Amino acid sequence: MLEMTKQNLRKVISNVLENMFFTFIEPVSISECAEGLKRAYFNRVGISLTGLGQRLDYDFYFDTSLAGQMTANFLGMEHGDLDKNQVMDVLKEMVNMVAGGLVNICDPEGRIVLGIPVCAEKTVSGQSLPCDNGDLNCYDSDDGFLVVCCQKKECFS
Amino acid sequence: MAFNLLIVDDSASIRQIIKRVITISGFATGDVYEAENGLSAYKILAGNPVDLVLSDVHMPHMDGITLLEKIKNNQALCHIPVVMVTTEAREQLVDKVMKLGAAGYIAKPFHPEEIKRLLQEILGVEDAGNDEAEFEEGDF
Repeated sequence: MLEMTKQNLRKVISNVLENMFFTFIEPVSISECAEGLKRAYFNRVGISLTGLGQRLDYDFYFDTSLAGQMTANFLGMEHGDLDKNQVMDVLKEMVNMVAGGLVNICDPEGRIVLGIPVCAEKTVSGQSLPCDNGDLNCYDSDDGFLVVCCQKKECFS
Repeated sequence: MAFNLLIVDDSASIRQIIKRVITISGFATGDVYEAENGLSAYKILAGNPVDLVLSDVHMPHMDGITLLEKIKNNQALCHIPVVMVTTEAREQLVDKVMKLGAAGYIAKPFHPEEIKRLLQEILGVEDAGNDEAEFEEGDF
């Protein structure tokens, strides 16, 4: 069974965000942030991890304000000077680093294959965050929420 | 002496960051080429003199490991040091690329000092010349 614990996820996300994006997060429960989530819009980036007879799909939802600030911090630019492609590219890279960090901890033997992150063109309303069958992890920051959804999609025989 | 570099990564942001780190470090750079994948990188190498390659591993069309193999199997290119800059730091992969002949390995997230130090070591430059280059928040 492929298991990425909440602690590992938090540890890796914090490490990446602090070191590369100068952003700090705190985990919060969905109930604590439900109202805030509904009012926000999110950039979505997905990545799949495949191996050990399973496929895990991770979806990262970045509050658009957080996404912009992360990008500005990463590239050393002003928020207002960014374009959409830069934001999407940086978010994909962040997810890439988190996924890489997770497998580095949970799979030192190299049995899990990382997919390539895909960023959705359109933003998603917080009212429709989909994660009915998965595990939802919510983090708060000064610039908005980050929500990470993990779903086990397929089992190979 | 100015060094010609090739930076290979499907992320334009990462390419920009690496270029910035190298510039702030004070390395004398000549031409800095960029490629989005191994295929484009190999074409650049075929027609341009390059002193060092910094490459990601996971890229579409041709990944970094295949690029590394092709470089090391090409008599005209095999002398060029290749540094892998990637999210994957698993021992198995690190061993593999080092056995294939990579000159070094940097795991993301990285601190700019790591790139600076490795480049100094590989290029044989004792001091990159910029004594005031201290990496600060937002510099990379």
